[in-house]
Amino acid sequence: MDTNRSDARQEAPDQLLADRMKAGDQEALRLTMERYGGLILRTAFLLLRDRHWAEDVSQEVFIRAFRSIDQLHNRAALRPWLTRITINECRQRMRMAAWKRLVFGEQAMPEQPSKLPGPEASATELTLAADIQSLPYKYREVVVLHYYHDLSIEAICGQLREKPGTIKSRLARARAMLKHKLEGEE
Amino acid sequence: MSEHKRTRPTDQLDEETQEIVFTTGMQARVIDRLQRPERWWQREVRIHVPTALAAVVLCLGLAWWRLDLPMPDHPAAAREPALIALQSGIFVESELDRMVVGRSIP
Repeated sequence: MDTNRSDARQEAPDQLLADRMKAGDQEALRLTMERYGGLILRTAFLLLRDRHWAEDVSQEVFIRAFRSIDQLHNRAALRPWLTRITINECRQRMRMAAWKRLVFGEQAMPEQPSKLPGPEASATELTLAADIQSLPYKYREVVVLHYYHDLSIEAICGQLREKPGTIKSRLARARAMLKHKLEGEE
Repeated sequence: MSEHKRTRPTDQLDEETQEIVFTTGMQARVIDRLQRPERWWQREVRIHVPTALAAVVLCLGLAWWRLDLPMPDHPAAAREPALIALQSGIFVESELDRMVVGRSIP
């Protein structure tokens, strides 16, 4: 589990990591991956519903982050910046999947939310994650950012570059859909 | 599902996805890929919007100008007929010339 949820004490280390990465220090990148790798991977998994895609995306996120670290102006905002890159990467994957489906007619995405490998991967163990993954993509984004990243509406607006009204209505709709699903499972 | 209602969604999701970890192998792959040079088609390109817009407008303007310009075989044919106003009326220059030449030759 990540230990870095909105903790002000971690602001300085994030700044330091960003500074070191700007100087080309790959050890700083390794520390960043240790700190945020799990969060980024799970975010991608919740958004994409596919473990392998999520692994590809999360690695791509850190490569992109290291190469574009100069674009990070607020060095304390390393985590939201990584989240934004993750969202952009996931969107790109979804777009590519949609094009592949359209052009080649292939099944580029699993229809059903994926389960973790292993005997412990029963539906009951992945209920909330699976329910979120079964939502349409635009609702999945707001739900993951609000409930998994603990972001406020304003922060989600910044991440997705949408108006507050849009985010609020998406969140309300997503809540209604989730409630319906959860009630159906009870 | 009653268990889900007692826990925060964040904790619940963390618990459900605890098997998903960013492994040291994945970290090594990231570091390894950074050692290799970036392929040109994967490079990020920054486009200065005002300059790009000006270039597009210029190109469109040039294309419109080139397509719209008449290109006759004889450039004189492209000229608008000149009109000459006299006391007796308005005449086309070429017609007037012809009339003047016709009168002067007996």
